[in-house]
Amino acid sequence: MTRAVRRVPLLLIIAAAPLASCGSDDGDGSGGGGIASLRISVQAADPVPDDDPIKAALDEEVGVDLDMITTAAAEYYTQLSADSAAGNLSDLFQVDRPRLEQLAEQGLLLDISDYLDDELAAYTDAVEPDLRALGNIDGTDYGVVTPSGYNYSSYWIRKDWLDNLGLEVPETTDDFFDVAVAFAQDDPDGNGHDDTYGLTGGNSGGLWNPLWAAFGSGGIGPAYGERGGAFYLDGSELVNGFYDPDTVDALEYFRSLVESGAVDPDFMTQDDAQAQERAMQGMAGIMNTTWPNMTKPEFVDQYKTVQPDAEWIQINPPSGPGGEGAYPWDNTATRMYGIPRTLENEPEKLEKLFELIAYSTTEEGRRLTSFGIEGEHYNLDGDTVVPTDLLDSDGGYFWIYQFTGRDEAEYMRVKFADDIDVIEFAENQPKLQTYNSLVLAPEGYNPADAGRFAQEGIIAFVTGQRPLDEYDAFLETLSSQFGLQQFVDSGIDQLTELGIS
Amino acid sequence: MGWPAVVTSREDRIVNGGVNIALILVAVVSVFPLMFVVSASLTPYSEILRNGGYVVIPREFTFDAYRSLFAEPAIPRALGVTAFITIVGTALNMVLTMLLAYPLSIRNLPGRGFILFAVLFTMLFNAGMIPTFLVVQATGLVDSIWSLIIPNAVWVFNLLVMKTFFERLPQELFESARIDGAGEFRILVRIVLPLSVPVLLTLTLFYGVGHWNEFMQAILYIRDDSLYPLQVVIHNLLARAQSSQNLEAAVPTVTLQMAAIVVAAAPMIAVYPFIQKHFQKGVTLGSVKG
Amino acid sequence: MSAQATATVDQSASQRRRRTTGGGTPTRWERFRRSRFWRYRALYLMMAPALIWFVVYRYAPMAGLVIAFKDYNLGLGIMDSPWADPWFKYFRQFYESPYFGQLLTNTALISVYKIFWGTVPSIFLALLLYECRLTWMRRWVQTLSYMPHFLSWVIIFGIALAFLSPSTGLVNRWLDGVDLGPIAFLTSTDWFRSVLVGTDMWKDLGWGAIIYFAAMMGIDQEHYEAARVDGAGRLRQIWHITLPGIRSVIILLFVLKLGQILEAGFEHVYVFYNPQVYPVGDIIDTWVFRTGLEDLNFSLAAAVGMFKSVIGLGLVLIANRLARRWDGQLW
Repeated sequence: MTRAVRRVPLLLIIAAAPLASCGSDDGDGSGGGGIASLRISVQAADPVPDDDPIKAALDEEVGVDLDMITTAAAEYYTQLSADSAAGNLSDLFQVDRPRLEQLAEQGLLLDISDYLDDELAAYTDAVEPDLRALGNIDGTDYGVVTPSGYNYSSYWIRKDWLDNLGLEVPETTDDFFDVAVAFAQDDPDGNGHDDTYGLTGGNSGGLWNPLWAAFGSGGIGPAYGERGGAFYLDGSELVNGFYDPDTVDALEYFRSLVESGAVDPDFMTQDDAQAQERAMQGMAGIMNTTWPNMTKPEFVDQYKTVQPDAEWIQINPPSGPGGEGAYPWDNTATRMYGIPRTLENEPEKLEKLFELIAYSTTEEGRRLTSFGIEGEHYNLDGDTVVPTDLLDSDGGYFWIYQFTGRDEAEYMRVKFADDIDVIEFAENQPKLQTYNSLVLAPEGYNPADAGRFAQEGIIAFVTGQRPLDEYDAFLETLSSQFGLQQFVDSGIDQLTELGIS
Repeated sequence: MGWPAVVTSREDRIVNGGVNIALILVAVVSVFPLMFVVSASLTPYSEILRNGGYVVIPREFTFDAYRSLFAEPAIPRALGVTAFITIVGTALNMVLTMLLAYPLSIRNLPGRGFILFAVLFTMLFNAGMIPTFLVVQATGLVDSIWSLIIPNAVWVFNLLVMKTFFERLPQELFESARIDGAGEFRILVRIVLPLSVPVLLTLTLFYGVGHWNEFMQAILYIRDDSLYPLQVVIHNLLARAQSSQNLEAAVPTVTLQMAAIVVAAAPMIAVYPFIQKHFQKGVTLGSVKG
Repeated sequence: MSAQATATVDQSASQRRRRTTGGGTPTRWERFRRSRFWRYRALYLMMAPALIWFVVYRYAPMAGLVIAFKDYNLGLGIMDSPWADPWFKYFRQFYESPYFGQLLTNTALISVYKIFWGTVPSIFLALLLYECRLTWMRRWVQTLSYMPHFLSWVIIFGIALAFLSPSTGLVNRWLDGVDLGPIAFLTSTDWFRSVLVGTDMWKDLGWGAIIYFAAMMGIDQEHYEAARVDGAGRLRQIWHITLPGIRSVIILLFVLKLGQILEAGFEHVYVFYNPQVYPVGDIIDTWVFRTGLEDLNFSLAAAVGMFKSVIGLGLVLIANRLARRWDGQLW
């Protein structure tokens, strides 16, 4: 026994020795003269291959050594917090607007206002002022904003179920209601079991999204008002969805749908992916989802094997008493980037960073970051980009280099030529402009407490646990006790100041 | 060592029967949901969809999910990183924990109460993410594989467990060894450790599993993706399809997710029977007391 | 027994002392060499590496706890950030939340249930394993019951949904079959805590049993032989030898769990809950997460963390005092 105990540590050290060396080779090329090294952090789950052709091309073009750091989802912001506290921010890093505000307030960000007409002129030209405003905090520009792409969402419906039941594509909210109920009750798949629902969706509440507008409301934002309701223009007046009387009509409609049994009862617990899976199992006939979820071959192949007759088609949102349905469209999905203030002391690096951003706005730069290397990932036929198989297999992560966006129309045409109709259908869905992402919470307002109260109340209304007569009382508590009034007043002031009215 | 070979009484028979029935029940409850995971990893996705989201016993087998998992170049590398931090980290953990637990198990060591309280205090008062990060950075560990090992070199929980087990050993053994002139280190290695095999193996397992499941520290301290451990790589693999920019990323199907879980857990499950082999029923201290 | 041993050591030490010094005034060095500290120098030396580690990686960062009393500014750093005005600003923000009382109750209740259902069944399983005469069965059950520990909460939620969903869940299909109607376990305030505690127990039943089983391994077999000679049956042996034999381990684990009473398992709750069960499922950590999410509020997180720690410390102190009665004190 004792001999064995003594031998164990030795064995471990021997086993570990070859691996230990891989831990020590950090910081290559950062110091020394010559080429500047730029570290860039992006919120992405895509692994960047070791021999990354885009990095090589950008390095050569701009004369830098890029070091891309990609981190997935929520963990990205954990890293960003640690890096901010440790004074270890990357030279260019992705942020969202609330964090941009906070980092700016704490003096960690470079003020780029003075560079906009000069080193960053290419960016200024390439991105519309409305969008650039998202990178502006209290009159100072900090964020480099990446324009958002197309809208990908729309309602999808089982055409074969409609045909089986002799129903038409629903055009009004009443039709929509009848179709959903029929899907739930009239055995649309003809299997003799009561095992279908009309509408399914996940706990983000996205299943209702375009319906708010049909009742004249702009909705209350994602996840049943968790973030304090949507700001939008009702006529020429800026309002918040919670205070729009039309919101109650929309809620009443949702409640009646849920009550009729047409909605998947797990719509509050499952996430969007689980809801999607159920739809593909043939459990529901209508959902609001993005086209990549419906056109990716791995999905289409699967649902076709399970439900050989399944025919999903896109439909326009139904219109209702308040007009046509529309998708609340905010710029929240937009990416933006911050630059650490400390870069002021490293003018060469800063200059290279600006060059990189400028290059990404040029046609050549856009092609590189969208389609890769000419002759490898794509070929040019006149002025048209013709993708190769290599782009299909390797091109998934290229977007992390799209600092100033891409030409979405060309991108779609090149990469998703087969699905172009579906893509344009989604992009052409009516949109209702909302402005939530421009509003910053005032001091003393706790969005989490208000959000929880709002969510609980709205969900109780939708599920029928609380009668809608109590909406006014609910709103009163939310406004006063939870400070929503204060948030909305401040929000409207902020937006008015930005010239939205 | 072991149990009396003959069943002697009626009570014995009843107890044995009851024990066996209860254990079978535990096994069934534990294994049934797990069969979901393993079966789903081996079943074609369309088959899962057809069955309403899960299968208990697959009718069609496919290893596609495992194949595509191992086609991912990051996985073998991450396995190497995880194996390294598990082996080296656990070795360091155990050495430091033993060296601290043994003195603290000696009841008349001056200052023992203070040290124990000071150690326990760190379990209750957590300094928080940012201050800890700053110290890890100040000691030069950020973005090095050692940041996954050194900042967690001792777990208070395991330390106190080991100390408690050491205290349960008959103290007169140590005293007589001391009187015979044995040094403390010799007592630890020759007497304490051989008598504590079950707890040493248990704590090795606890530490090992902790390192194997390493996730949060890697997120905090590692930026170089070639140093990411297995759990982070698998997490990224499954999160990839959620990034709206990457429109062509293959969405991880239930099959792939489950295969990832099996791959991530299998090695730790495989070592367990070897540890159990050394769980001999009870020591007979008489032989050591001599 | 140990007191006796101590006496032996003291005696032999005093004999040695008499031999070495004889008479005369001892120098400071001699006094130190005679002190109890010098006698145990080998033990202190042994502890040194781990203690230094504790100072560097556990106590040094604790200075950062001051951010609970400051308006922590990432740019200015911990030391230069301005003091909060008033100093208890972030404690007050927590206290003044309309949900404060509910959060505290939920956290404590879920935690207490988890302590009970995470301890007693594990001890029981360890006893079953210890009493099992069939080696192969013991090994299999041990391995199988250990496996759920390796599933993340996200996956367990997926499995729970497959069982408990009101539309497709296996349990609800069965309930439907016997006309009890579907129960929305995951969105019902009546069931949610039970779901949490049940899944927690399932996940860690076998994992938790390992430590108790290891403790039973250390029980001297002579006790059982003596008991058998006295004619004690199996159940009496369990009651009078096995359980008392692992008492110190049970007390230790219980006291440590008490120290974490306001933890309740953030990840578990966060994955499982939804707005419909907030009234029974929202805990302190999920509230901090949602509140801090928007504004990187590390000061609030530190203040709430300190609140939880102080409560935990108080309980540990009390429990340790009580544990003295069974000679199970931690220090």
